[in-house]
Amino acid sequence: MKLLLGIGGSDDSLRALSVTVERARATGDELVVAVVENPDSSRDPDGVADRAREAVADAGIDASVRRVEGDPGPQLVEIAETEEFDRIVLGGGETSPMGKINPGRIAEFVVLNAPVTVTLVR
Amino acid sequence: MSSRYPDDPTVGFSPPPVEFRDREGRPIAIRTLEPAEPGHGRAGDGSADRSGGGDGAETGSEARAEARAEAEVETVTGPGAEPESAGNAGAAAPTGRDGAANAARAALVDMYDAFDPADRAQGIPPSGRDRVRDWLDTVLAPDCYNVVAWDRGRDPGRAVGHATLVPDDDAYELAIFVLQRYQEAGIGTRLLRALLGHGRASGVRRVWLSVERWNRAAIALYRNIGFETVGEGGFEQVMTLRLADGDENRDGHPDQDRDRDQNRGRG
Repeated sequence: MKLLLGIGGSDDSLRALSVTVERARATGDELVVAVVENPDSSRDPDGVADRAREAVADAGIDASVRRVEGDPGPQLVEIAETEEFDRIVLGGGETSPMGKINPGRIAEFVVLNAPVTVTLVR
Repeated sequence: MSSRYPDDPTVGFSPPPVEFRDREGRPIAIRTLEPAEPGHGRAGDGSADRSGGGDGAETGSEARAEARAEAEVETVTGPGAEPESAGNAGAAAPTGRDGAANAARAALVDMYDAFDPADRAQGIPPSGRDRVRDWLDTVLAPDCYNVVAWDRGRDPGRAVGHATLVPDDDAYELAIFVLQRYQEAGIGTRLLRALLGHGRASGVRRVWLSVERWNRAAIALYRNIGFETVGEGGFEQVMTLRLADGDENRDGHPDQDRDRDQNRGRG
């Protein structure tokens, strides 16, 4: 299976990174990590890309990490469709002090528009 | 949560106690929920649950034993009177404030256990008594503010609504929950006003909440209280409110009072 993991640096996206990398290691699925620009995240995309490369290397898998410019949701959907990914994986959203889940704009767009399976990691 | 807060505060919120009849004629009381002393944690709640949480027959008894204790604590008893629940269900004899706090907590566990799953919004309240208890640890923490609505027509009193303020940097996040059978009866508005009164009296000034964008009834409720929408797009709508300092909390702004005084002089 060909997985496209979209991460922007939010806490939930970094969790999705470790969960997905581990799963790819176990299943042998092909994985591409797309580092997008998330305006809601305080982490710098280059730093996030470095973390992704580290996670991939630590797991010993052959996954590629790329930076994706532009509007994250639409870009992820376009990449998934044109490059024929089977699944898009995203972080499941941030949690407020109360415990309320906010899926975030990127996940909303992808869930509503992707032509492939979408997984939100929580 | 960095949000735009309204320039003008909303005034006129009074803290509990509040007593009223809801639109169905049920006698409702709103009370502040004071946290138990730190270190006592869930002792009162756990001790009544030794028989296990999965048994449906037990679900009400936890609150009943504790609530009897609460009733004893709240009424004025003569010298030498013992709380009735001292020998019940192996629960430790509750003392004063901790007894009341733990009884209220147990009643909230029962309330959330009875919640309609369809009333979950943005993931809360969780389902299952253990998950509810874990979540209540967060919202009933000592740095939070909580008020509970009780149906006084039930013996013992049943918790039917709960509103909470949870700290978030220099602001507080608000949430409110009303048992389905008690919705659309005017309780939500009263709960919100009582919570905001309690929060304001305790120093809370900035309040925000999130609500599903399609939940028109809730958004109308919050707007009527004084919340304003901020942000745009997405499943989640954020709303904010500013509470007033000292003198501002009379009816109307300080400026309006000044104008009224001037006009009075003109006869």
